Amino acid sequence: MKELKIRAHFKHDPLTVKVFTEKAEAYLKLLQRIQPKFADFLILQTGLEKTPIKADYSNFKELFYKGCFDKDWAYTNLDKHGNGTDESTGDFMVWISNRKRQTDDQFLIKFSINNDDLKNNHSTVQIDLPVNEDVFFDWKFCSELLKVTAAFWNAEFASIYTLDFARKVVGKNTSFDIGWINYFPNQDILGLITIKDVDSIVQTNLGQCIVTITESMPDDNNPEYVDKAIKFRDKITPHGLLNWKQE
Amino acid sequence: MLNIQPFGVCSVDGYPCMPIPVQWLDVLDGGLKVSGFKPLLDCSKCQCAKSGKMEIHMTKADADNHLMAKGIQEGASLAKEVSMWAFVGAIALGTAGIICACTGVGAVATPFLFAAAVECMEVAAVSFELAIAADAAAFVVEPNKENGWVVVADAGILIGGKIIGKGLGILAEDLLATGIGRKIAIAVEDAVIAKPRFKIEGQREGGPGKWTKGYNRRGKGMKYQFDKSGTKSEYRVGTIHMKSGKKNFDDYDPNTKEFIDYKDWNNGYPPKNTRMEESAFRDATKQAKIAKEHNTVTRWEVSNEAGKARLEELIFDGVDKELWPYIKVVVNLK
Repeated sequence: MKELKIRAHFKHDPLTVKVFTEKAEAYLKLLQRIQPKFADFLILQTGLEKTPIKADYSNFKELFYKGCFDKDWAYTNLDKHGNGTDESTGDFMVWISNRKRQTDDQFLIKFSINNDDLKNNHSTVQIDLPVNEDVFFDWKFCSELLKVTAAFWNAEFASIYTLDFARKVVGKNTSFDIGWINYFPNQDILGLITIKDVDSIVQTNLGQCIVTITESMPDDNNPEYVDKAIKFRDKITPHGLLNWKQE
Repeated sequence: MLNIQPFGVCSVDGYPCMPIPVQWLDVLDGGLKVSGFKPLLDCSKCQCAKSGKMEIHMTKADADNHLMAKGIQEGASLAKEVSMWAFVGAIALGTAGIICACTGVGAVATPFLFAAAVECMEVAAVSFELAIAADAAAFVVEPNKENGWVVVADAGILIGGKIIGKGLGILAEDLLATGIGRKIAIAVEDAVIAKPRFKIEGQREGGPGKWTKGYNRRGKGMKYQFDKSGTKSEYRVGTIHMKSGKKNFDDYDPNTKEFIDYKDWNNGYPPKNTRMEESAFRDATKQAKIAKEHNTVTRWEVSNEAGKARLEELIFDGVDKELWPYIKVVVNLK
């Protein structure tokens, strides 16, 4: 099995460390409701430190807050006391996993928050799923996880992919790259493709679309699968569905 | 003046190096003399009138390490600007297994031949120098003991037989027997063909930053950076992304206007899902943002294709696609 990755791209106004910490905690708890394995022994893995997060999250704010800050990066209004009420903004990169050892086959959640601009900063949340956990290699579970993640972060695009597959279908002049399963925040895509182009198109109650290239497990080396994805990419790229929306 | 020729830029006056040896110190005491002069020891030193100091090292690596340890970036950067004369000398030093290094503020550092570095003695026999070059070339082509000794003899004659004592001869023989002399000669030959670099502190080289004193770091990574850039100096640019308001790059390419970071990483490094990988993600993201800020590219240079593939994968996986145009990985085989 290849490592499956989920990545959600979202736009936001400057995100303070306080708000980001609260959102991250809420997101982790949401993941745990979807799949209890996400609750296994969380570790904050940032910089040179790996620190266990208590099961009741009692030390989460303190740890996550510290983990947000890179010693060399620039932050605004930095509160050096670190009491979790900080309004600092800046770039935050935080990793959370349950990998006690490098060889452990577990999940890894990567938050990458950009705060360069006064509004509409582009950020991502990515989950690398365990390779040998069958429970994670299921179309139904994956599409649900994608939908929940994208909705939580109010994503403009999200997808599930393997690295090799993504590199084969990477597009030029696009902000996002399509994957095995793809999330679109609205129904704009419905007028551009038909069910012949992909394996399935699912509309959610809230009007989002989940487009799946193939409902069988992804195979990076299957040319039919890759070709299908590239044709799908080329159909929707001119319509801006793989780029950030212009404000 | 013999054996000490201008082959670098003096950081004191900015002109080509013209060392002015003052006096050798810590030489062998006692009655033994070679052509009327006291023989040098491995601890002998000679002050340059411009404030540099010449010292003797048994290998090029020792000399490099010494320069790095002392933070003498001027000397280090200029060490690669070796003249043809130094080439001849280098072959001899490869034979003899000794490197003289010049260190200190304003120093011109060059590995050059022998322990000699003998002050004065003008030998204007150009034809003889050419003969030495021929002998030296023969040594490079066929670095055997006999050819090595010919170069030693040439150099010995050239410097008036002042320095080469019996002990040195034995040392040279031992080194040749172990092949170390050959390795040194090859290393110095590499330095000879290296492109001349300048990188003087304060220079901008047409870019958005300027050369500045590097951080006092040590270790394998620093050594690699030093080997590639030829200097311990770093190219500093201003940036809004760093707390300090500045970011040092290992090097700057004035031709492409690209910032350079040398990565001493081989196959598979950094390992996946480790804090090293996370650190590399941070580096890549920040360096790409700084390059974007200056409308240029950050170039990561690695030593092989496997290293390049790994870092390209890392950037693909973890760096925002909008930043890809601002960072790239290339293989540098030099």
